[in-house]
Amino acid sequence: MLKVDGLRKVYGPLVAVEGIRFELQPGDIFGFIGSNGAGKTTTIRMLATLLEPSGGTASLDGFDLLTQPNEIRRRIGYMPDFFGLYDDVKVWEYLDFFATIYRVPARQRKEVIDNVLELTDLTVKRDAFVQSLSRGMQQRLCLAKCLVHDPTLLLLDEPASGLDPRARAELKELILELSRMGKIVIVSSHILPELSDFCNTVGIIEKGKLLAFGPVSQIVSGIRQARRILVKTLDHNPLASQVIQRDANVRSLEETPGGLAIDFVGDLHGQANLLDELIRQGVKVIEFHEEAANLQDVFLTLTTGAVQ
Amino acid sequence: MKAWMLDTARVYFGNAQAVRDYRSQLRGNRPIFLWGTYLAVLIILAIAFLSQLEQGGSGRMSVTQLQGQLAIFYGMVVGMLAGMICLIAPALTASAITVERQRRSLDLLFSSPLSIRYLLVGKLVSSLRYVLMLLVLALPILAICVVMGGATAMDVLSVTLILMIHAVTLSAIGLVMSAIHGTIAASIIWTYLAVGAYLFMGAATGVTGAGAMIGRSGFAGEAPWVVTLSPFSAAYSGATYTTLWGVAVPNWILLLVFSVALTKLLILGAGSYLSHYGSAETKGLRIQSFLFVGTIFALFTYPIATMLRGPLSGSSAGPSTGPFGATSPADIFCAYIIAIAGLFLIFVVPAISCYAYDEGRRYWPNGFFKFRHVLDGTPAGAAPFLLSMLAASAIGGWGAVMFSGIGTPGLLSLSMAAWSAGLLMALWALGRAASGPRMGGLRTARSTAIGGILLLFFAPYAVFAIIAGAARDAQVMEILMDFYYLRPLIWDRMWTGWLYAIPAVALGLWFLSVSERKIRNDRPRFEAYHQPPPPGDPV
Repeated sequence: MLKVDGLRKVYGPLVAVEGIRFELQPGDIFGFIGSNGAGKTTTIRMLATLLEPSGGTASLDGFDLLTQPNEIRRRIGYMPDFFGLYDDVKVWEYLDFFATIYRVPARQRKEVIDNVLELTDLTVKRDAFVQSLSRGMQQRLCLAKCLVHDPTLLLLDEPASGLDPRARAELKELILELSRMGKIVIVSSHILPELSDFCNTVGIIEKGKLLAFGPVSQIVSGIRQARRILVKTLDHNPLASQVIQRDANVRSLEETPGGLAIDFVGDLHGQANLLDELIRQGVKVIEFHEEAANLQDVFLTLTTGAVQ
Repeated sequence: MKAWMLDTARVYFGNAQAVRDYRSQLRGNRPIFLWGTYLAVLIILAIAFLSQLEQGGSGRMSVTQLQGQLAIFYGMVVGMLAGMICLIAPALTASAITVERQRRSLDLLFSSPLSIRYLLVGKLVSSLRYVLMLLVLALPILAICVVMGGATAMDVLSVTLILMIHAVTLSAIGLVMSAIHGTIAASIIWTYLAVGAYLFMGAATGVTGAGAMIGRSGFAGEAPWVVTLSPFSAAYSGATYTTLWGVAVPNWILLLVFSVALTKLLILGAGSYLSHYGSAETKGLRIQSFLFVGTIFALFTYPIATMLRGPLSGSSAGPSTGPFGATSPADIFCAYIIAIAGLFLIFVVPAISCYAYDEGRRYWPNGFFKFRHVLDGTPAGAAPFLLSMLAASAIGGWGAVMFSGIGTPGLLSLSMAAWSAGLLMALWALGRAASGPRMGGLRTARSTAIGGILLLFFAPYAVFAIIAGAARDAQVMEILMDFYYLRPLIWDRMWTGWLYAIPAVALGLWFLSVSERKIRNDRPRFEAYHQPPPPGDPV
């Protein structure tokens, strides 16, 4: 379990990160969202033990970030937004180097390297030079490097930047696989759609402050006063609008190209009753669902776009 | 203890960093081409020299002449190898850390359990393997001198050892510079400047040591170990020895002790520079500084004291101008040791006395004189550290003097100890006065401190010279120089050293008052640095 407790970083008069607190469990994929300069990288670098916090602390599997940094280092895999690859070595040599410094026993190294290459789909590039790899492959190699010591926590800073759509999709699959393996994955990004797809928890940070933390749906419902329900009828029956407006839980109704959008303050029973009433009145309903959480809307609502 | 030994074994044997670097160095045809060219040059040189020898001698050269010529050839090859090591060894490490920093791969390394020592030793080992390969390739050429004459197998072995020892130190100098500097160009320039200074110091002390032996009877390979300090004199210093407790100790062993101490300090310095506040590297550097600086001072002082043993024991005269009465020359020697220690320590004053906001929370004003911070590298421990280092140098130097049997330090030495301490404290306070949140960053503070130190050292002399020039009276300069802080370095004024410490301390107190006022004015900003995070949970 990762517990971040009031982590703070100050550079002279500049407060880069201001008392961040959250907890993550094994298998969680945490999307760390913020504009450039919001404090994402600083937080991740503190968790990676590269920056000493000015205040607060964090613990991973019970080991404290400040007092037991080496224990933390053995349990994290850090992938920065730049890859920092050595370009004069082969892929297996690169992984062998990191396996050695992470103290993977010599007799297990070959097997470990083969496994991570297979996981990251780089087996065919085992003997290729690092500089000959495409950006997507280099990024997967960097991720493979993070996995040689089987870490508990993966810190991925802007992992998808500069990748083509196929490489992004592959990365997403890989991260989901890692989550299934029980690893905690922290992914920072400012590309919101890619995060909302696979993160089960997100945190929105601005000017060093964590403005929101939790599952996407929970954050959205916390922001919205009403649920947004989308209704689509077969024959655009005007009766549908009348039935909907009569419902006490409906705050507003809006006609959209795809149908009707309702701001609904009732609970799930209220939604069921409304659907039942529409059908009873003869409205041919072909779609009736709550609008999926829109991370972008939440982000824009919560943040002002200010940077430090 | 077992864990430490295992960890040390991991660092020095099978170091992954060294393996990775060496793989890169040996990759492709480049090393074969370089080594082939190098060997070809050596062979061509040998053939050219030997053929010239044959033509010049026309078969009529006596065996003694031939041996002399071959000894010259041996010296030439060794000189060339020394030159090559001075160029290549530091070059291999000069950009080692800088390149990692520019490639931004240091973050990957420092977020792993890899220790800084592991990284630095790995870089050093990979560089030394390369240098060792060059020395091994030169062995066939050196073997010609063993087979044909001019050198013995032991000569070749001792020369190879001496050159290898120098390669270690020179590589470590490159490593420190690469840890400090952010660009490859700056790192390489500073490396060669430092290597130049090291070689100059080695040559100067070596020549002094060798010069002291001239005219001494009974010289048969016995020489002060400092003659080995220049790699260029390896062919001639390789077989020398120093007699300690009646045992002839080869000088390369003493060079090895010196080099290990210096290299260890350099690596710890590089490690301290790369590490965070209160790191093990900084603590190690501080602790071992006391030990190794004392050792280095003892190593340097002992042979000089031994050389002076004859002249000093025959002389009872000394400066009797001071209030302490007659002073022995041994006391003057000890006084100079402490003065030199003080002057050397000035180089570290700007690095440890200045403070500023910094990422690692390492150089912020955590007090002005606290012994408990003497090891953690923070400004509060700077003054205690300087005074402790002065004491360690004095213990090492004075101990060696007493061991050599030429005399003991006396009141004159204590006078100069006060002078050195006063000077260091004044400059330390200057470093603090040059710091402050409104002064800019650490680099600005250090630059200001260095400027202030240079001004304090050179401006008075320039002003006095102008005044004396205007007065056209040499007596005026003589009087004015009494107000110059370096005046007690002239041996007949050494007894006044303690008097000079008084204005130095006063000046230091004034600098300190400036510094403390600045800290007081900026206290809210410094306190903001460590205030607890605000309570409250996110949405």
